[in-house]
Amino acid sequence: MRNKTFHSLLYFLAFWLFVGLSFILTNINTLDSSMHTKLFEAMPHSGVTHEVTAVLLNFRALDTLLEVGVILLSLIAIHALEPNFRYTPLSFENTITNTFVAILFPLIALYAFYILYSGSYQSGGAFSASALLAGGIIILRLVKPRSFFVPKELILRFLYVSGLFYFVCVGMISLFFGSFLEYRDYIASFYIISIESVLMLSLGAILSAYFINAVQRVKP
Amino acid sequence: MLLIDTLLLVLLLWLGFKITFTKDHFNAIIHFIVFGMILALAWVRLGAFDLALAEIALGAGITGALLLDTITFLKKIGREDA
Amino acid sequence: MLFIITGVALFVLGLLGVIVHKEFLRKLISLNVFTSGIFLIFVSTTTREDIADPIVIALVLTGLVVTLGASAFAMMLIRAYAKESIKESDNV
Repeated sequence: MRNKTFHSLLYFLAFWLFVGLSFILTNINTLDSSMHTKLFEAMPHSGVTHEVTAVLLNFRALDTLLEVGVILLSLIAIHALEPNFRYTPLSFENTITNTFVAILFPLIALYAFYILYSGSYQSGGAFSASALLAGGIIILRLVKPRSFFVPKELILRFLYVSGLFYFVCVGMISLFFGSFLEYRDYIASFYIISIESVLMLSLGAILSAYFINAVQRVKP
Repeated sequence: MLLIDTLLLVLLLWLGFKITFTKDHFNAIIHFIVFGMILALAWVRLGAFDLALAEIALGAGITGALLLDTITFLKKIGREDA
Repeated sequence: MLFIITGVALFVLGLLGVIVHKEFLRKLISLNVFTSGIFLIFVSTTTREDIADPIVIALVLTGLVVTLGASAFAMMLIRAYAKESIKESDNV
């Protein structure tokens, strides 16, 4: 009975929170566009023509660096918990799924590379591409065809860290010419593309490891 | 355009209600995956194509796969109420 | 305008779900709905003339990826908790 009154009080409060918040937020003034004009003034020096990629990997690159650090930390925490939840997963291996994956996975990988390199002039970029690649690897791991091989743990760990490591290395190199992660105009394009490529491989490995670690087969 | 917007947003709200108030856990997860896809369409309507791509791949794809795997695990060890 | 109201509604629904449900997995799903509502409000309040602000899009993209990392870790914690609670009830 007490639970019921608590719930009705909660729904009442939630309704008034909804009304109040929507009243405030629909009457809000849009922010002034000084940041916007500054961004468009700085675009020719960024090395790419798509604004979102320029913001992510040039103007606010430190944010992206820390984000990759957060993703890596989350993977390390999952590895620490891993012995608790291993179980034998479903296995779907037969001729139909093998053929399906053999056709599908190369297409997904190709599409991921296309999205990565089109990120410099249109929508796309390292994060979407790495998510696509991770999805492809997850499908591959679920079907587990005979040609699928698991790399050694040491190689995988190197792959997980490589994105953050390369990013920090580029930051250190840029320290010789200016401040941390601030590129010169003529080399910015090369740096951005190379960071995106390494990030795609490393983030794809990390995001698929989130899933694969959970369904790993118990060693007999 | 207003019609499409209204349709999308009503669909989003309905899915949000179903996610919050349904009893079955599996049902809620499937509704969450569909919710991610409809939200990607809403990002397209707002002109944020990067977000739409990331939402489909991350929000619907990988989170959905992880959630389904977790519910299978919990059912297997008999602690679905955890 | 419509997008802002929907974002607020999703925010409130997610908050309600986090409070009402007892199961951790349902709380996690509601938390994801809650963050989606916040992102929807954030992008739609800064959109002018049908073009979203690139800075806002970059920030929200960062937020999406970090949300995935956090919820993956949370799911592993839920599994570990369920396993441990079974072990304890076996011992008793």
